[in-house]
Amino acid sequence: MALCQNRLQEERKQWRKDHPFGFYARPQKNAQGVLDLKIWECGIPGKEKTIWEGGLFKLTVTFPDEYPTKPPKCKFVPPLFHPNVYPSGTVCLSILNEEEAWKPAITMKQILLGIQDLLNDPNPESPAQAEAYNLFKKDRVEYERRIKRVVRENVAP
Amino acid sequence: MSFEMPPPNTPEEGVAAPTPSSRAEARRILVSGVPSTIYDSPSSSSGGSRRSSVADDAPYQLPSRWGHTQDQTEPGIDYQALDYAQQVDEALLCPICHTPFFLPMTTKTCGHTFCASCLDRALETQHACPIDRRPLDISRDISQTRTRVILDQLDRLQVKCPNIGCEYVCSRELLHAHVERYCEYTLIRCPDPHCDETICRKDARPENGCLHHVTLCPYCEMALTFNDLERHYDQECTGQEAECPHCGAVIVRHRLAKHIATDCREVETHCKFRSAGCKQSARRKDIEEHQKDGCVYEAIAKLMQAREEDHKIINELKGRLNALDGRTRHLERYGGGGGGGGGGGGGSSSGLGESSAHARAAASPSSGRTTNTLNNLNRMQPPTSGYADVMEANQNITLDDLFETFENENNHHIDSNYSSPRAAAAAMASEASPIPVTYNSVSQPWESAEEYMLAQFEAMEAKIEDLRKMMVELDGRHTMRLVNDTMRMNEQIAELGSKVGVLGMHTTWLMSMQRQSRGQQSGAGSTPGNTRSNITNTGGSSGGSGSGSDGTADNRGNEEGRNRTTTTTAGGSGLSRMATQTQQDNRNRTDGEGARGRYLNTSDIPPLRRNSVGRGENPPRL
Repeated sequence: MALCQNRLQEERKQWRKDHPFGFYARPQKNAQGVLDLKIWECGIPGKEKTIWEGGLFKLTVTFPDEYPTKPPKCKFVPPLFHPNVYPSGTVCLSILNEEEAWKPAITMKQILLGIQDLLNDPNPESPAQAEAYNLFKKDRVEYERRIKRVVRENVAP
Repeated sequence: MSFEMPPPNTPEEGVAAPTPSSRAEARRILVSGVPSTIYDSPSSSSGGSRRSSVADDAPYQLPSRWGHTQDQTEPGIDYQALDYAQQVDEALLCPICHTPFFLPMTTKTCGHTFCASCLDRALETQHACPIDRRPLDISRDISQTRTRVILDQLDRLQVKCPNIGCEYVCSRELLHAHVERYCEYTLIRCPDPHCDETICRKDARPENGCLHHVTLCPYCEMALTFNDLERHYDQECTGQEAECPHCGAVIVRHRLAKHIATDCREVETHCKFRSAGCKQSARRKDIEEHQKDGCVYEAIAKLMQAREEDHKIINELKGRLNALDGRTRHLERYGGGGGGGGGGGGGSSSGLGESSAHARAAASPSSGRTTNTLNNLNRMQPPTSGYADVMEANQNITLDDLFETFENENNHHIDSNYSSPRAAAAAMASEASPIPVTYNSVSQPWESAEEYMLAQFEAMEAKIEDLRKMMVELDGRHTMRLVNDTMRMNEQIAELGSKVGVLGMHTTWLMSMQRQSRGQQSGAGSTPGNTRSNITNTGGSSGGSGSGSDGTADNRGNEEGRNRTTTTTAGGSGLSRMATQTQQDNRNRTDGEGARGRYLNTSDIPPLRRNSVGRGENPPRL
């Protein structure tokens, strides 16, 4: 779809012009070595002065043909230990939900910053995986210990 | 202990796609309800300019060329894929496609603006504003943006032509015409009626025939269609590469010449101050070093450039001087002739001669130097023309030429009347002629080229200064002459004015005299002969010429006089008399105003009128 491609082209331009420190986002190359604008590889650093600090979490963003009418799908690769991340790695976030707060005006930068915020500020109202959710609710110490382990596994270069 | 998980707000794998039925419904609404507002794109709208359709209050139409209609037959412009030449203000970007609005639409409820196509796409899935998610009724809540300021800003955005190979940049409103009609890179149908391929407009010439036949690239033997060959050479052909003979770099063959001319660092080249005399020539990288260290000829190059500019100024000044000179001479001639022809008498003409002499004296200040200048000017400036030769010789500036001229000049000076250059300089100084001073006073042989250049430079500056002075003087003289001439004319006009005034007084006096005599004639019974004689005595020619009509005037006067006597004798009825008099006065006034022009021309004024004038102007005499 032309609109989707054009918008992604613009997103890419804007990202290259200005993007927040520590983040990266680039379209993937497909098998023929041609850029596929519909699949982006992104990285989100953990926020400073939180338990997530020092980590860099990889994410694949997939844009549907209807983008920007419909939101992209964001998926942590590998799946992340977090109350709002499904076991498959898909992020559960209101601004990424077409039925909820997704708006075509939302940019890549806003999405990635939103996910970064979500890391240290999980939403207990919409849990997506039982393990992290239960620990978050019951045993905060153990939860934080697990997070620290995740950060160590995904340490920022 | 088990936790009941609240139901997740997102389905596991992304978002629920709208059911086909809901999509179909949205489409149906769009097709049935919106077409009149968003896109009703009949074929008629294809060529029409967007501006006019907006201005005409016509339903908002998407041109059919625009990729929105499904049956896209010709290659259109994708306005959202355009590359803009400059940074576009963020306020002009559609929040959906993040490109400048194209065919903007504004929501009535929340005032947000989007491209028509973007908004349509967004509303396909959700009947809500894409920004604040407020519910939107497609048929009612959307209108096309009519704010001129926005549309004008969008129209004026500078945009690059989307065709590959075309570098054209124009404002966005003109892009369509460019692509459709002028762009050489627009793909059009192949001129061969049997071929269905497209081809760039520049290659589509009937004489070329169809270029869509397969050929082999001469360098890499790849099979291509003929019209694709150029692009292939530029982008992918490997056999096309050539090695630079100087630096060994591998470069696309047809770029090699340019590479050698400007880029290759190994090629032999000259210092860029070569025209100033630098003889250095080496490999480009050494030359760059040499130029960075500071070529000694750089100063000369700068001087020469300054000199060039000076030349320009001098030539311009010369032109202006000539023009001014011509004007002055013209004025002089004209002024002399005018003095003889115009003017009341011999006195004024002699006055002119005097004034012009005075002007000359005033224009040239007491120093003999300026007089000299002016004389020079009047003699078609022999000194300047001499310089013109020198300057022309110097136009082509290379150092060798300069030296040549310089030598010529030295010889010239030596050949001239003065036995030695010093004597010449002294003579010049004593003569105090402004022009040659600097130039000739330095007549020593030169020690180096730089010194000569400097001297030349100074001489040039001096000349410019002198020319400027001369201009100012000439200007002054010019103004003086103008002032003098106009002054004389003013005087003449004033004189004429006063004469007219005197004549007017005479006329008034004469008329009042006549009226008086008439009054005496009718009222007191005095004879008309008296008046007649009065007129002839005092009025001169004007009185004489009016003799024919005087009879009628007398008749009327008699009648009036009789009337008046009758009313007076009627006595008592002073009131009615006053009434008639005021009536008469009124009439007189209007008459007087209306016919004043005639009075000036004719000496025989109709009696009634004359009466009225007299009455209007000096009633006390009655």
